[in-house]
Amino acid sequence: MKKEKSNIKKMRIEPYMFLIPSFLVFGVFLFFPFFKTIYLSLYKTNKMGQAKLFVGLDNYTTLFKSASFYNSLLVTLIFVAIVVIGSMALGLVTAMLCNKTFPGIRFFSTAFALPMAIASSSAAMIFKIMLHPSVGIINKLLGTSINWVHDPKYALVCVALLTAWLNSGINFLYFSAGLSNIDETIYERASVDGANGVQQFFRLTLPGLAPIMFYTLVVNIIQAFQSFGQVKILTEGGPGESTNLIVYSIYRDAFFNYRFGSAAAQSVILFIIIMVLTLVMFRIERKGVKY
Amino acid sequence: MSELVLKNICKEYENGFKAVDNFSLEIKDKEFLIFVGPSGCGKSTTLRMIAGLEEITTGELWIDNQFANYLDSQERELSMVFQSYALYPNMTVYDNIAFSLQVRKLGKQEIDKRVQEVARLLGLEKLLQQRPKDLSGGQRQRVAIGNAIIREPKVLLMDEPLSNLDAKLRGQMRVELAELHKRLGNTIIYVTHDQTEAMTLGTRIVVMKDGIIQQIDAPKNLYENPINLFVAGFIGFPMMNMIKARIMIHEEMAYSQRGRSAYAENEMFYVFEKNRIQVTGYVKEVLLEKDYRGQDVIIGIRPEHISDRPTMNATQRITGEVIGRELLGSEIILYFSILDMQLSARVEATSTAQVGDKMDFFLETDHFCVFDEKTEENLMYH
Repeated sequence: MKKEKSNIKKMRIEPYMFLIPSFLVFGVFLFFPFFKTIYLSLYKTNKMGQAKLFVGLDNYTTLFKSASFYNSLLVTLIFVAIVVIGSMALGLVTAMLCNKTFPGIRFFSTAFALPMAIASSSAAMIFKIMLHPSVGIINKLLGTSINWVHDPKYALVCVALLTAWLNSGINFLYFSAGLSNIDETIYERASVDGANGVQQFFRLTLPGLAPIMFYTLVVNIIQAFQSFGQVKILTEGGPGESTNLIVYSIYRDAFFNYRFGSAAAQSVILFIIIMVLTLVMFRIERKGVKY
Repeated sequence: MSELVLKNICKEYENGFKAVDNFSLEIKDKEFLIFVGPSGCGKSTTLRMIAGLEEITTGELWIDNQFANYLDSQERELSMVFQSYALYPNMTVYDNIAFSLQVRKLGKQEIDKRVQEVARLLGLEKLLQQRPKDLSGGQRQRVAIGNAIIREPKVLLMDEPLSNLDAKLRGQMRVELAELHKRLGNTIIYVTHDQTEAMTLGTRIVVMKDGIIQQIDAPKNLYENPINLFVAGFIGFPMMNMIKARIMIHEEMAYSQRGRSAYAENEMFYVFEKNRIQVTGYVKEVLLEKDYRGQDVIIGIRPEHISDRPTMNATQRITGEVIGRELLGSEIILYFSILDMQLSARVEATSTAQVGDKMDFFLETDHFCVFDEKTEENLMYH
């Protein structure tokens, strides 16, 4: 009797034991920093980043009064819009190009998926050279002499397009998988039914991709919000504050200005924005995707 | 009016495989034409070439006197029912049926009127707002047909439309299809590997093998007058009985039996081992004329031409051992072995024959097909 009882007890503890390693990792690298960030956002800190003076929501109210913060929100919004639309369009087009077999398809699909494997900072380095006002290939090809990354008009677009290209690799992969899930014969039926290519795309391909499209959209938005490396290398937030994305602004506040409290508060706001967006999209998905 | 002409159509793949070879055919208005043959015989490929889903390697396709080889499938004004139905999973039944009209930008009211009409015809009224995944196999099938007929196409192409249904539903849909054809009166080209479908639905049947047309004929002719061994074996169930035999006439027989002949002069026989079956009438004339004396042939006999008792027509007796018995309700199929051959006979349900019985069977020699052993051609084909 006694033995059985202890056995049951053992059984109950065992499953949790298995969870400990992963929880330990999560705890150290995810939960602790997360709560520490919230904690820091309520304090003024010293140069070492230690919380010194409790100020309540002061960090937040200061942010909401600062034009710079609104600027960085706006810039981030534009950036995210360009990146998400650009990278998804690029991924979709490339995936559709590689949906039918042709000689050399392996080369092309590798090429289209390659951005996935390129580190954002190294890509930024290459773009920096390509976009160079005097020796860059872009200006040579276009016959222009635009100072791409140092002109407020172009800097944001340049960084956004670079990011769109970087993110298109994984989208290519998602969309290729989505396209291969669509039954080939419905296209045959559609062409016998008299539908042209455009009609087939909008009435069959797009709806067929809807489930994966949603997932891709969520991932892309989150990814775009978190872009950092390319901004750091290419523009460093400038010229002025024209590419001062919120993540870069956090970095700058924390590690240049040593205002860890303000940086933490921005992180929390970024977290809330992404969370709300994701929840809204899930709500829309439940209504929109019908099969 | 819709007429299709196929002239020497070939389909050859890059690896040199010929899927369809020299296919020539004229399809008249309002015909229910069947392509039948074993899988891989090129029947679906031919259909897909007509639909424009597959390129024609050589040969000509004419649709209503218009050269159609290079027309896109959109321009051919045909419609097609696919084996997998190919319903659009993201659309409702209504949109699935209406699709071909919607892409032609017809008025909403006109489309609605025709969809309702077709839905009534096929009994789909209550399902119009459902999606394909909520439908049963038979209902999906109907939706596919609905989409195909709503446009009132010149020619309706069907690629094994019943093969995904269970046996009972298949029988039911077969009847409905025949009725539909009568009511709509359009030309239908129908691909199947099922000879029952071919026999019951078609006004004309094209039997294919290895990409080559074997015979084009009405179902009855195909059954009674097959051109060769393949067609004879493919059409009809249970399969036609095939017996290898040698044609001998009186003198040779007498010689080989080393004794005095008990037969009248010039009598002709099919001989296999100790069995001999007398050849008479028209068959004998043909065999004499073509000089098949002493040659090996294959005799083909339909199971219904073998009886378990002698009758006016069934006079020639052979003895076999019953090895199987299938009661089909109104009749019994008896499988029996004779030498190393397995034959079948369609007998009345009153037969008491049991497995293991040795019994006599009687053959109606008038209905024999005789095939040349080498060319496999039916010598009786006329």
